[in-house]
Amino acid sequence: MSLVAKNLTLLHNGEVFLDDISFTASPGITVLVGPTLSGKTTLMRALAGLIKTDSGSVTVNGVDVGMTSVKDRSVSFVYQQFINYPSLSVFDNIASPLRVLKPKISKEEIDTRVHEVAAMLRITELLDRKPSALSGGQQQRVAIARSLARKSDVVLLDEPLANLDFKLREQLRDELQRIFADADMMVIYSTAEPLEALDMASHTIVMNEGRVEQDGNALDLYARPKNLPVALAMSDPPLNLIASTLATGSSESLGSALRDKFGGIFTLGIRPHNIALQSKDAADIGINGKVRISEITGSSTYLHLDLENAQKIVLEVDGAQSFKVGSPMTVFLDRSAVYGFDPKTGTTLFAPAAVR
Amino acid sequence: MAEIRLENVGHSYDGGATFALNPISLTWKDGNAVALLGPSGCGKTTLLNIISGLLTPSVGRVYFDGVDVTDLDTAKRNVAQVFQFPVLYDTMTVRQNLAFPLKNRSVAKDVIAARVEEIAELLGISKYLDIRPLKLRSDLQQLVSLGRGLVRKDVPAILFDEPLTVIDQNFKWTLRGRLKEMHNNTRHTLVYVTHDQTEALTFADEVVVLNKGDIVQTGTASDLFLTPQDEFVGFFIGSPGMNFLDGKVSDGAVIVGSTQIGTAVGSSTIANGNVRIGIRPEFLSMTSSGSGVAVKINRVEHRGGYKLVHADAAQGKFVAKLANDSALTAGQSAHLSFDPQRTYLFRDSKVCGTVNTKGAN
Repeated sequence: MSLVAKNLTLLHNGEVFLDDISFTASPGITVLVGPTLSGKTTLMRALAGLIKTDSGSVTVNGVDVGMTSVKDRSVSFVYQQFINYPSLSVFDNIASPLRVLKPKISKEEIDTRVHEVAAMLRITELLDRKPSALSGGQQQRVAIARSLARKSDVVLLDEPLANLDFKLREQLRDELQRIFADADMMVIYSTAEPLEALDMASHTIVMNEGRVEQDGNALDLYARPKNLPVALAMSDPPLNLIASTLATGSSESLGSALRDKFGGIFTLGIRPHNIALQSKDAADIGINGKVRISEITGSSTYLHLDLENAQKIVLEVDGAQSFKVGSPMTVFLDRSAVYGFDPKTGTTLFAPAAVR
Repeated sequence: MAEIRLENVGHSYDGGATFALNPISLTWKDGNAVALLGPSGCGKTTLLNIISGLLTPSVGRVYFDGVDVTDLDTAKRNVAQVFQFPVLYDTMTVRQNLAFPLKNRSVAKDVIAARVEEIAELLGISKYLDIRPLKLRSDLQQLVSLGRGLVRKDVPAILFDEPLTVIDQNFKWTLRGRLKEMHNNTRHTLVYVTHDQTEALTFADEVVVLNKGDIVQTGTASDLFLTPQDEFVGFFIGSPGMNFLDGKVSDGAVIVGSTQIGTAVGSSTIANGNVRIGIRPEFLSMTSSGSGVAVKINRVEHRGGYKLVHADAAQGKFVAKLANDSALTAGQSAHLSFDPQRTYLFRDSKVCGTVNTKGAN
């Protein structure tokens, strides 16, 4: 079983929406990750055959999606904003796509399937209710249950947790992972959140400006991004970037120090948790800055520093620590966690040897 | 800017049958940034709407700097508000939108011009000043909305209702920082509603955690993380939240199953009976050798900067947050140890003591 997207390109009013996208999805979860407007939703709509691309093809198990009529496609779609039929009970909401299936399936089979997916999504006790009597999280569970009941070959989930509360997201993400782990279907799951992609720990595709930037295992993309857009898409809190060369400005000591250390011009990337208040290793790189703000989460503190030439970095330190705004300090970059990117093309020049 | 005081304020949407917000009393100091944090339906937006005047509380009085404003409508209360989605005039440019709240109050033209530039600079929208908002992406429109909320200096308070919902993940970090910086400089009284703990904890001087219409705990980020007073706070704050397991206290001993895991420490003697034991994933260590509660590891999640190790014990399920160099793998046996300072006892969902695990197991 497979889904193959081949050279999908979509232009609209001279603007590129999809730029020569090719990838293969196998049974299990494939995560599409990328910022808003990177083309995730457009790609999903193309995969479902809901929009026609200018070129390229989508085949599911060897059959071209574009050649199949909508009702015969074995594809289900779950949107960010959950959609349920307000006048139908939860049971009927889940059963509705099963009642129009061809060949027809028996009433008993419908009943069995609805109960099966309801149990999976823990909504069995809600089956008699109307959607209006449910919370947002419960409504999205119903929408997901409906998409699963059909046992489609392809299930498309477009940022399904984005409209839910933070805690609910955490919980549902865990459950979805469990549900889809053994499912015999191809699940395409889109998200703008790097941690969600890492949590799913499966095949991940990083999208940016309508392109596939990189395709691989989530942790590999985190550790060895091909370029800057991938590194950004896989980092939360955001990756710090420090230029080793500055176009303007009189003081360039930081840039030249970095150039000396690494030999060459590059954009240095480092994640906030890889910068420390104390040097732990002789190879650590000391950087001077001034405290702009500090943000305490309880488990850690995000310290924002102003560097020379209007550059900024954020470091994450353990526990709750207070810092006086404006006070000067030296912080230390873990050299073994440093990325280098080409300042012009964004291509990765060097990356840490291990996951940092 | 003003001190906000609520006196026995509560609200029912169904004529008193049930309360969306149970009666509460509180005082927020002038110049503080306060976050109202909780899941949907907890009463946080009801509370915000009572402060803004969009909602008249069923019971209680609202005071701004000691003046009773309960019966004043939103316009008369003079507060600034920012909503979840952009609310802008599309017949005006971004600059005119930002200037509008000032123009309405007959502020001098040159003062308005300077202030608009200042706010646009803070939010990074200077280059969009002369276009109409509908031409902008939705996250940029929301920045303009934020700007309108921030532009006036003479308001008693600025109220935010989940203002970063439509903002992109990466930019959220930048924007939150800028808002915090602005607050450091201006010390406006800010009230900020959110379900996102990171937003609430990093932004506010004081976080009010609500659940089912009640305030369950108020404190700084560290208070809520280190010393949760309620099981809900243990669960809701932290990602993932606290681990809980059922146990009992018997003559000072804390017992799980048939194993004593430590001794109960409370401000007074903790009576015999059932308890829940809570420990955050950050304060749980898990090692392949040693003593301590025996567990079997069922899943290791690599989250980039750290690992989440999920394990099963006879006493329940645990998740520990461990450094990248932890070599534990799924299927392996391991042992747990609890940080004695940070292992809490709960009874009727309220904290009643800690567990001294020294010398036990």
